[in-house]
Amino acid sequence: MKALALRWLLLLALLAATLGLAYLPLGPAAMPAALIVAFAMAAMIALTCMRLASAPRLAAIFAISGLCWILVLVTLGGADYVTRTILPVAGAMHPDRDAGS
Amino acid sequence: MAEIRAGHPAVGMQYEDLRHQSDTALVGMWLFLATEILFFGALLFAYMVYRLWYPAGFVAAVRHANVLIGTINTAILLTSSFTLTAGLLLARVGDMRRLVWACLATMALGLAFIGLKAVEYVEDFHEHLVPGAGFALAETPGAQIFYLFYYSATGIHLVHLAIGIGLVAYIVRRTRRGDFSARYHTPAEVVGLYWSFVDIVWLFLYPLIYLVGRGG
Repeated sequence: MKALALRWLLLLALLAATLGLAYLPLGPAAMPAALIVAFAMAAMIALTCMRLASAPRLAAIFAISGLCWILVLVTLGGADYVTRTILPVAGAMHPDRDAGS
Repeated sequence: MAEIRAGHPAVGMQYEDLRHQSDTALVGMWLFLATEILFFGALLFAYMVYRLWYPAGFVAAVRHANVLIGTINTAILLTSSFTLTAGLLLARVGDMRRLVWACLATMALGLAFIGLKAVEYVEDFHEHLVPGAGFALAETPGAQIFYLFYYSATGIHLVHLAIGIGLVAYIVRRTRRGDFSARYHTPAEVVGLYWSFVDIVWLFLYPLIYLVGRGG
């Protein structure tokens, strides 16, 4: 129970850290920094509260599959959005990008 | 647990023993959670795409979000996962009375989260941060899309949390009825998995809605 309390305090410390990071002028690094802390916190919950390490092997496979599927979604979806050519049309739908182009 | 075999009233006829039944239930919940990862993942991916398209609008919108309520709610959810986990640890040694107390604390924390979120929604409404006519940030392209994401994502998360509170209440009822013991409390373990997953979803929503963009 003491170990559990310590992990809870560690998670609250990580929460304070991510809040503090948000006010630093990190520029484009702000998103990766916030996501890294979020992944670290999620991993702690998965290992401590969801006991992923001692879960049935098939459960661990499903958990990892979920992450793999999301990786496929982000990779293929992202490749589309990053490489797609948007042709300018009347009544532009993307004012931010059109202003920058 | 392995000695409670097929034929025992607690063991379904399709299982070899109680451990087989318990593992099947846990694996079933993990499979469901894998589909939930994709469900919320698609939502978060859409957020990322629109954030790339409308960086200024998203930053302006993030700065209007109530970071105090968001942070308190994150701490509340983190704590609730640990109260439920503590209850499950106690259930494993047969302390069912404290499992009930841990479940009640978890439900109270879940309700506190919903209450604070309601306060935040009312505040957003008064500040005209609802997409549509009269939207306060209408001049900033992309801010309405951010708020569409905000209401969709937090709304779907709230529904999940409300279901979680109902499931924990079901565990309280069954524990009080004497259905569970140190050997058999698998439904409580399964609900614990669901509750922690809802917590994890919020850990990703929190920085995207309240934090990234504040530092300039």
